[in-house]
Amino acid sequence: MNFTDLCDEKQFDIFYKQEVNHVFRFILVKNKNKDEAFDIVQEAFIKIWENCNKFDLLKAKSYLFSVAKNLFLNAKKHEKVVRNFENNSTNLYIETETPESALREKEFKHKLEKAIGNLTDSSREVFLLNRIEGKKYKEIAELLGISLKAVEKRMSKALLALRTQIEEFN
Amino acid sequence: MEDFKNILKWLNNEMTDEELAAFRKTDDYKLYKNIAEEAKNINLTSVNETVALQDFKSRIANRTKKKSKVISFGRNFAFKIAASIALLVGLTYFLFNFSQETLKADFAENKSFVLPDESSVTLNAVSQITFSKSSFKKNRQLKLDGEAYFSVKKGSAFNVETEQGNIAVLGTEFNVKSRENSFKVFCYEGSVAVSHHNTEIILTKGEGVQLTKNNQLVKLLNPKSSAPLWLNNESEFTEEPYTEVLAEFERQFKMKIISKSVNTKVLFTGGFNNKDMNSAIKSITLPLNINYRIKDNEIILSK
Repeated sequence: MNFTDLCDEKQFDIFYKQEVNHVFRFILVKNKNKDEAFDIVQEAFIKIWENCNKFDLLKAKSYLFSVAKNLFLNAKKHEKVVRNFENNSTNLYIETETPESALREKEFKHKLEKAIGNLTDSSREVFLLNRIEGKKYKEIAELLGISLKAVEKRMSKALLALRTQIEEFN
Repeated sequence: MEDFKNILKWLNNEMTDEELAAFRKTDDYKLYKNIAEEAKNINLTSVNETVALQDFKSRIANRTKKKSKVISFGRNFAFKIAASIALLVGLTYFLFNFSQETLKADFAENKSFVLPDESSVTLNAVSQITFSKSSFKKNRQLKLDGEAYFSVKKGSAFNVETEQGNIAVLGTEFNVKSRENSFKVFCYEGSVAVSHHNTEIILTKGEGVQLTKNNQLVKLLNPKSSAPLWLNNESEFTEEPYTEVLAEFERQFKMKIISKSVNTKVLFTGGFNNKDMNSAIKSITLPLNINYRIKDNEIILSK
């Protein structure tokens, strides 16, 4: 969908709904705490809304991601995220349900989840962006502001670590 | 460390059908198939878009409320004084906030500066940049007249405005030349967006654009160059109008060139050294069979 004016509330709402989960997961794979991640996402959208006429609309998406990334880095720097999140309603988060599948598969999945949790932040981020968000290495490089080589390196590191850990479990 | 080239290629969906068929037979594939497939189904939390949007709206509403709290003043004298002081303070803040900083390099010099956001800029001869001193950190925007090499610290968008077009970047190294007869942008690291009228071009490392005589942006490629030559006191030109070559010479040596009797519309490819005037004038006149005479601060060209 092409947006012509993000200061227009209707278009903004569509933009919001279309992107919110992408940004959320983008931050979530960096930082496991979902409340903090959600705060960052909301702050990023507030920035977009407040500056709705100050950036190139064609780049709204990448602008959103870079605002979110910077907010994440700032929050990390100060070791605190301003918590003004009071929405405790249980229907905000949607936990994907574990599919009823063979026990072995569940076991494997559990192992994999654990192994992914043990990866370094930087390689987990790259690995999950590729696997879950289906992003190409080039897109990840642009998103994170690092080189293609660095993405491939982090990916290789993740693959090696995952294999070693999963073999250990067996 | 072992070779992950094939696996990486596979995960990025870059394999041809034949490559994929061959890869399916390897041990690597058996090993990683489960990891790659299962990872797609990892339980990453998502948010309910509608609930999230509602939460967003209430945050916005809270913010606006905080901003626009109104305090009503009584009509007594003390309040009038308080109001005057507030006005004065406000005015000073306003003036301070809009104070412009200008950094420039004069004839025959290059100068380097560090900007408030810790980005650095080197200005070529007779060039200047202007920006708002107080708000630059928040809003990285500056005007350029002339030629400059930027090394931008990563962060929010960094915008360079020129007469001919605008350049937007996130964090990167690039050169901009914006002169009367020349507009050229070259990217040495990261990526840069150049907009001119209604066209926009994205440049990555080793790419550049130049504005031609008929107002078209054409791409330049030079993957090997890591910084503009003028930083090492060399001026270079690729198919640029001779007028621009002479103008650059004037800026580098603070000389006046009289070129009435030669054709300055030809396109010139070549360069000159910015420190040695005698060899420089030869480099730009001999290839075109032009004679020159140096007289005080003037150089007269003739056929």
